[in-house]
Amino acid sequence: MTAVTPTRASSTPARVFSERNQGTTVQNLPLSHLSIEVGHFYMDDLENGEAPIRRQFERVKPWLDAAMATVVCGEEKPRISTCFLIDDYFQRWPDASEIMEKLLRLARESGVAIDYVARESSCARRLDGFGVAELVARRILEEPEPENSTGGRPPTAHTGWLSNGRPPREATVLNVMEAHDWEAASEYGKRNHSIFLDVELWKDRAEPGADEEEVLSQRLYSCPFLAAVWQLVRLGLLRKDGAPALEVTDWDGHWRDEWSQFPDIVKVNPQAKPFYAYRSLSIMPQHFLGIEHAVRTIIDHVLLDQPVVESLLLRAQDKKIILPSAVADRISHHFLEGGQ
Amino acid sequence: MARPDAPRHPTEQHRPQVVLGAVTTGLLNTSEPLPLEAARQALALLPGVSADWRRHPIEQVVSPDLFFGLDCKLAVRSGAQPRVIGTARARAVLTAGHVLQGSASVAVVLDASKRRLPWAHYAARTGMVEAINKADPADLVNGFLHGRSGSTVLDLGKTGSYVMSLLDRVPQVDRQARLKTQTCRLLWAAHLREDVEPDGRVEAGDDGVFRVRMSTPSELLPQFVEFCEVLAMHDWLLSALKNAFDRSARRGRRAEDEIDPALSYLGHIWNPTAHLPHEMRWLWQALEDEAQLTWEWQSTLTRVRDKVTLLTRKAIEETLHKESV
Repeated sequence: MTAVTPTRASSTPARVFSERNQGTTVQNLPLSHLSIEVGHFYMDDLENGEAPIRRQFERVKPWLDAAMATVVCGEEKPRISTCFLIDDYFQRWPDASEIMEKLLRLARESGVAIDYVARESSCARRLDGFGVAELVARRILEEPEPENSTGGRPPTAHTGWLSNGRPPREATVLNVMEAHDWEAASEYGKRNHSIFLDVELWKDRAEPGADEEEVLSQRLYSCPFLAAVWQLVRLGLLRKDGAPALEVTDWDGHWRDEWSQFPDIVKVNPQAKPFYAYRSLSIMPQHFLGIEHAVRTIIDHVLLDQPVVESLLLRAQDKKIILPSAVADRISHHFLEGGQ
Repeated sequence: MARPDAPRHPTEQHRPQVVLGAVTTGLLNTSEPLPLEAARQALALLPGVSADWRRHPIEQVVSPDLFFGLDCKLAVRSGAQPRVIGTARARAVLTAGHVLQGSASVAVVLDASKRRLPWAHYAARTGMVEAINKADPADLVNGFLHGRSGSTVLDLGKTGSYVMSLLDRVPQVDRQARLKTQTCRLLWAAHLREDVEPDGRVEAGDDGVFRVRMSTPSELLPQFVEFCEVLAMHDWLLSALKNAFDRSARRGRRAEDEIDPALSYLGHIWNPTAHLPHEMRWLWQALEDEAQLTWEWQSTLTRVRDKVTLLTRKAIEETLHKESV
C-alpha cells in the first residue's frame, strides 16, 4: 500500500487560459410575486351556457381580492398576474374564438381580470411540437424504499404510475384454510398513519416494441400530470435550454377558431405584470381537490435543475422575498365550496 | 450546468460535514472515439439541458446531473451504522471521446432529524442525504473508504456504473470497441471544514482501488471532485495499457491484436493537468513527486512501442528471409 500526504503550496501563478462551455445558461425571467389562477372549467362547462361560468367567476372575485391584499412581496411593490388554463387536451371543438370571447367577457363583467390564457395541450406538447411534459416525466424520481435503496436503482418512473409509498400486498394463499395474508399500504413519509396515493401519470397507447418517438407521440398524459407541468411553468421552474418551457405571446387582436393554432400562453392584458411568479395560487371548485393532491405528490417527486432553482432562490434572497425551498410549498389553493 | 457546485448557503444546522463519492471509469463501447458533436448529443442525458464541454487540450463532455433516491445505511468503523435518506448526484464524463466515467457523490448532513420526513423535504435538497442517527464525520470517512460492503450500505459505485450504462443505449455509440478493458473504481471522501487549509491523502489499496481523502473548505469541493475524476481516469489509463501489454505477451495471442487498439485508443490521452482545476495542482504535484504516475505511464508506453518496433523488425527479417530462400 502506498500513501501520499502532501502539503499545500503557498502560492499559485495567475491563470491565462480558461475554457468553459456551459451547455445551458439559465435565463433570468421577469417575475411577479404571485400568479393567480382564477377558476377552472372542464371544456363541457365552457361549451354550455353562461350562467355557471359567470357564477364561478363571481365566487372567485372576493378570494382574488383577498389574495391580492396579502401577497408576499418583501420590500417591493406587489406584482400580481392572473391566468386561466383552457382545458383543451381531452376534448375540443373548433370554436376557440367563440369561447375566448365569452370567457373574457364574463370574467371582466364579474370583476375578474384575466391577464394570461394558456392551453392544457401545450403542457403536453408545445405549438412547435416540443414535448414539454417529458421535461417533467424525465425528472421524476421515485421515492426510495425505506432502508433498502443504496444507490443502484434506476431513477425514473417507467410504469406511468407514481406513488408516495408502498401499495397494499396480497400474498398468494396456497392453502385455503390459512388466514388471509394481507399487508396494508404504507406512506413512506407518514406521520403515524398513512395516506397512500398512487397517481397515474400517463397511458402509453403505442404498440409494444414501438420506438421511443412513437411511444411519446401516442402517450396520453393524465390531468394531474399536466396540471403539475402547468404549476412548474408558472413558477418559472421548467426550462428548455435555460428559457421558459412555455413562453408568452402577445395577443395579435383576433382569435383563431382552432385550439391547435392557439399560442401556448397568450397575454390578453397588455398592462399585465409578468406571467412567471415566485409563488402561485389556484382558485378553483372543490371537486378538483383530488387532482391537486395528485399534483402535489407529482411535484414533490420532480427533481428540478439546480441552476434554475438556484437562480430563483438568489433573486428572492436579493429582494428579501421569502421563498420556500420545497417547490410544493410555493403553491397554494383556494377551493370554492361545492353544491353551487 | 452540470459541474458540481459547492453546497449552497445552507442554514447552519443543515450544513453537510462529509461528502462521499465514487468515480467509475471504463471505455465507451465504440469502435472509434466519439467526435465532440456526437458526444455532446450522447451526454445530453436529460431533455431541456445540454452537456457542458471543453475542446482544449483534450475534448471533454460532462452530462447534466442525475439524481438517485437513497434510504440506506452508511458504513462506519465502530458502533451502529447511521441511516441516511435523500438523493445522490451523478453525472457522466467523457474524455477524448472514449474514456467514460460515472461520477457519483452525496453530501451527508448529520443530526438533521429523528425520522424520515416527507419526500418534498429531500427533493428540495438534491445531492444530499440526512442522517437519522448520530455519527462522527471522521468515522464516516473511514467507514466509506474502508468499510465492508453490504446489501443495505450505500454503494455509489453502482450509481456511477448505472450512469455509464445509459451510454450503451444511445444511437451515437456503435457498441464495437476493439479493446478489452476493465472498469476501475476510485472512492473519495471529503471532510468539510471551513477553518482548515486543504489537506489531501491518496492511497492505492491492495485491491487495486484508489482511495482519496481530503479535509477542505466547502468552496473547494467541486475542484476536489474534478481532481478525483482526473486521478481515476489516469489510474484507469495506466491499468488498461498495462493489461493490454500483458495480454500481448500471452501464448496463443497475436501481440498486435492487443497492442494496436491499445495504442490507437489510449496512447494519446495521458495529460493529467489538462483539466485539473488550478486549485488542485499542488495536490497533483505532490502525488506525482511520490507516486510518479506519469513516469509509470511513459515507461509502460515506451515498452509497448519498443515491442511494436521489435515486432516490426522481426516481420521485416522474416519477409527478407523468405525472399532469400
